[in-house]
Amino acid sequence: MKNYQIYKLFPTPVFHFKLENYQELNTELENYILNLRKKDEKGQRKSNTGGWHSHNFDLTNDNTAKKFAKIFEEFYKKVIINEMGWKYDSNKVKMEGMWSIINKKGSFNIQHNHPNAYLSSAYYVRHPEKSGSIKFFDPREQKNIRYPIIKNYTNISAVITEITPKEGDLLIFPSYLYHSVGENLSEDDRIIVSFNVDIDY
Amino acid sequence: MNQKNVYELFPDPIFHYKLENYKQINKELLNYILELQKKDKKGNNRSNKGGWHSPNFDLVNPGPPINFINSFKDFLKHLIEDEFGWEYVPNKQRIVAMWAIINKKNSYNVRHNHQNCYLSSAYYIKKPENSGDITFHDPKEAKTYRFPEVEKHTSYSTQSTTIKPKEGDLLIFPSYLYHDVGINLSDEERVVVSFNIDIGY
Repeated sequence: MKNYQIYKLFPTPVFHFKLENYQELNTELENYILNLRKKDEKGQRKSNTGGWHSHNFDLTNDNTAKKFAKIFEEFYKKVIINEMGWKYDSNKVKMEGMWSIINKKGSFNIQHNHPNAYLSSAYYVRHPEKSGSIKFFDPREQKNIRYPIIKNYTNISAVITEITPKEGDLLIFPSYLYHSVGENLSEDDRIIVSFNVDIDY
Repeated sequence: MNQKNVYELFPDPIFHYKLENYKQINKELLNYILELQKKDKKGNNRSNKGGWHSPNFDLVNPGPPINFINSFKDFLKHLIEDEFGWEYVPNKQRIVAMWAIINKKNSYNVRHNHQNCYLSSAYYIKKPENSGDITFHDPKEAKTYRFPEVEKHTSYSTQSTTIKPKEGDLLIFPSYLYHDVGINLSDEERVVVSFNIDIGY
């Protein structure tokens, strides 16, 4: 039966990029992150449960951190201009915080979103098999609090979407979108970099 | 180039179906509606501004409303089972109310949604040019309450979408989705039938 059309309005986009030359970048990032951890073993407690969450990278004085930020800028700039259609003024668009999380075996991240930003991101430096996928949650409460019995989840009735990224993948998504990261069931560390982008006028 | 994929998560679906025998159905329904109007000139006061909102149709006894329901019931079953993936149990999906709205010149409908049901609908019996189109609004407050300056509307940044249906078109959409109807600028009347579907188990 296909005598009808469907308009799928107001989707929540998750932009998935693959970085060229990511191996080289990931080696640099990993060294940088492990070095940060040496100096700050406690890190901070946010959505991380069991894992290590760095403090924000120093994007004002640290040239290496600034270089990383520059690499990601190309991608969020594209998203802002081409995909979201937002006005891009380089003086007003700011990376507001960039940090890393290392999830060792048994670690995970509880459901959270990123306040006071428009776009957020996850970049995968190390992502061993079974080290925890990212799950995104439907932001519409009115749909999720009451619904009919679901026999087959479809793109329309889905409440959660899980994405299993690979090393070198960059995900950019709206900051209001709640997400969580599954438990790391592998023996190896899972290492990611996150950042927020805000725009003021 | 860096490979790009966009996951378009959690859309709000609008189903646009054309009734096969709409001319006959529309004639019957229009007579039925005009009879109702004769008996109840005041009608109800809901989202209608200036227009006449009928009392609820008789969905128990045979007549034009039942013939109308029979003309799309297979489509409705397909939509529930295959598009939403919801369990379909005969007699558990009920049309809980059906009514008509006649918008004469300068009438319109303010923004509203339909409570205590899962699916709602608009079916077009008389739809002269410039008689007012239906606009749907993004239900995500977190997205629409605060947002950057939009330079070019895209399917990701847009907060409302207008659909221009024709006579014989049936729109079915989630009941939580807010919508409004533009002012009737034509000299002729615009006549629609709406209904709500609930599912109980």
